[in-house]
Amino acid sequence: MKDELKVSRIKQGTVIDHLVPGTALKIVKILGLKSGSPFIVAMNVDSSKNRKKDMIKIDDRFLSKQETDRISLLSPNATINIIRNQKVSDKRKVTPPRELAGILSCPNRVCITNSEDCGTRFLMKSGKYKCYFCEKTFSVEEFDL
Amino acid sequence: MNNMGLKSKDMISAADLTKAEVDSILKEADVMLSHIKRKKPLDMLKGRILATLFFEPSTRTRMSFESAMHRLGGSIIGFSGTEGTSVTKGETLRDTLRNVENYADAIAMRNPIEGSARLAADTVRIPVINGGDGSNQHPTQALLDLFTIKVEKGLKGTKVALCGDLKYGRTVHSLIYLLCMYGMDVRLVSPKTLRMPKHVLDDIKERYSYAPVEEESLDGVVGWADVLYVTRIQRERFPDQNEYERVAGSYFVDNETLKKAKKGMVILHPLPRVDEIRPEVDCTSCAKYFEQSFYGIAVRMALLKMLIGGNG
Repeated sequence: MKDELKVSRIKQGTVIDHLVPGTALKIVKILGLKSGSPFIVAMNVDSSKNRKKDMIKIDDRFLSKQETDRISLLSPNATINIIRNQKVSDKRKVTPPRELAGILSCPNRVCITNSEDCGTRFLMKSGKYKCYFCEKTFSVEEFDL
Repeated sequence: MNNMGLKSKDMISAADLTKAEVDSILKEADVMLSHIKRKKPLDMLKGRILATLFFEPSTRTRMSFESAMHRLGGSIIGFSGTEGTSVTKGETLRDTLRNVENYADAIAMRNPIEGSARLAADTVRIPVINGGDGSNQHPTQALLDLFTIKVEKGLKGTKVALCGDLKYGRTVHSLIYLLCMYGMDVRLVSPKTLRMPKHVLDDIKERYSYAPVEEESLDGVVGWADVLYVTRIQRERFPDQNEYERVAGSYFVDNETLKKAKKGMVILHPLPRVDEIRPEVDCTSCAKYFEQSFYGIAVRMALLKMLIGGNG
């Protein structure tokens, strides 16, 4: 019999599934879950595709676009399941955003956005993100997510 | 002359420019050059004010903007160095700009922080001209470099070698876009640690399907190039002074270098130079860097007229 990890259902909230193994705790931090709604983290569990994955279930909390954008940078194949009355009412795959506005710092330490409180803006270009201000491009790994 | 819709626009990055816009700037610069040569007083920008905000040192860029504005009949306000301004009291760049836009019709700004010019353009309603934002861009220098190449060698089929600090040099980050826009053959000569940034080369490849050859030796290009564009290795841009010491003096051009040069080759330099072009070269027919500085006035006159508008 296959070993299975039983995780209790939530009545209402969000299940973030198919996370790249090892990213769940970082996403917990990004979402500020430690001081908010009850949540469950599962790490390195078997996925249906016979691979490992992380998963987060958050009770009574729905995510903003900015939050799902950040999740997509860490886990481009993640899915967001919206749960209402213990049933999946909506399921969608995250997509890396074409534009990142105000959610990440520019890795270029001499970019104006690091000295003036003006917000950041990055535009996707050939799979990388180009800073609207300093014109430098960065891969996802270069950001402090 | 048709200003190609540049009126009230900003001049932030060479990457923003279309070929039609650059063509029209070069054409207008030709007109301005003839006005300068005839010493004809102009009043196209009479009653208009340019604010020159130079947060870091400049000789040529600031003075040629001021000369250009005066020659067009306009006037100048501004500062060179932040001493005596509220910046020293901690005023933000945006607050400074919001005040200056009440006093002037356009702003020419140099600031050591990358992206500051783009922020300035987004902050004020009047045209902003980037006079250099850190190591990022210096589009008006690139335009005057291109104009010099046009006057001295022509733009068609010209081979250009960019040499020196290609990593931190903002002039080459701008110029490479214009050279490739005009289909010129470009070679890049620098120490390994000072190569042209990958993001610039990637962008060039995407726009123009072109990848300039990169070399480490000046010897490999002097017999090939029609234009040798030399840049200073800029001590002030290096985060690590040890890195600077390792590459300082890597390249220099002297009369021995010129013996191997292609016939008719010209040498350009955005200036200031330190020791990368020896003074003995100044009196040769190759040396065109002081003419280049002169052409900067015509190009900036053209830009000011096109961006601010005015009479005639």
